[in-house]
Amino acid sequence: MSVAVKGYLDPVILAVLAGGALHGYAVIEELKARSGGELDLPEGTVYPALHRLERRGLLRSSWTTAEGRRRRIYRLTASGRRELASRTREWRTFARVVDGVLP
Amino acid sequence: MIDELARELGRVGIRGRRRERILAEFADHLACDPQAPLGEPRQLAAQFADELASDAARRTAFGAFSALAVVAFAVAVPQLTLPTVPDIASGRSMFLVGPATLAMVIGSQIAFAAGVLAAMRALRFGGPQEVDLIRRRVAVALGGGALTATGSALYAVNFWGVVPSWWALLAVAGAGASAVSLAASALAYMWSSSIAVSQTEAARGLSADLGPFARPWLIGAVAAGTMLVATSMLEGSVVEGALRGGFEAILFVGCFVALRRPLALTQ
Repeated sequence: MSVAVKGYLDPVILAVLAGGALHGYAVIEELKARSGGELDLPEGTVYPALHRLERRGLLRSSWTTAEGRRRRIYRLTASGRRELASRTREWRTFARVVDGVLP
Repeated sequence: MIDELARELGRVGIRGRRRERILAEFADHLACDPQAPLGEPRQLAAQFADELASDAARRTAFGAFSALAVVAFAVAVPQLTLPTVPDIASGRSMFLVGPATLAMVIGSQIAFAAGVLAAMRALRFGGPQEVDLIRRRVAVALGGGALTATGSALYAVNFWGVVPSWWALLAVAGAGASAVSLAASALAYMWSSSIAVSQTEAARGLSADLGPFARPWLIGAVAAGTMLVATSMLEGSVVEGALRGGFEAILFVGCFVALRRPLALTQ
């Protein structure tokens, strides 16, 4: 499953963050919860993706403090919302086409 | 884990505030779940480096292309506004005018070819395995740009007092603007090259950039033929056209032999 989702990690992260601002650990926990535990990526690999999405302007982040520790919180930007909508449409079309072909 | 990740990030060239941020995020993650399966520090550092280097290489390629556009403008304007071409023997030294002209002719063509190829690969970026190639093309393009700007400045210095002073000042100012633009791009290049990528690809030749029918000999023939026809028409002399066309062909072959590996022109 982790291999299959690799090309869709970016929209999956954007979808999780569409619900509100989260830090890295919470993003991963939310991914696990929404996938019923099927997404078993090495958790560290989500951070390079978060940084990449931020460099591309799809997320923005800021420091906060939690229990005396520095914590980076990520939020979806307007571009991120547009990208999520576009990738969702793309996925729905892809899934519909494949569903129509598979027995 | 955090100490090892810090070492690995430093090893791939990720330092300073960026490394501190990554380490703080991982420390927070481990504080939330000390048993979290974060992955191998070496692989994580390589993944961060590949991502960063990819973005930086693409930005550097577009930046270099912009810097070369400044050089092209700053060199072309003086050349196009030169009232009359001075006699070659009227300058300070014959040893100056030859290299200056050659630097402009060769440098501009190298910069154009390498700059376009770097920008094309950055536009159709296929992954971190292409970062090394983009970097090499950018380095060659910036070198070609520097050669062109130096040639333009030397040409103006050589004919100082022979050409109108406003023209000499324009040419030197253009070379100065080119130097500033190239230096900014070179700094960005140096920063982006400090990050190590985990993968490189074998050269795929010009056809990977320009399509299946792109052949170096064909491009060389078109360049030499264009020079022959254009010079024959402008100078009104087929002999002069043939001479310059032949010179262009020799230059093309020389540059191709010297740069085919760094620019990945052949497989």
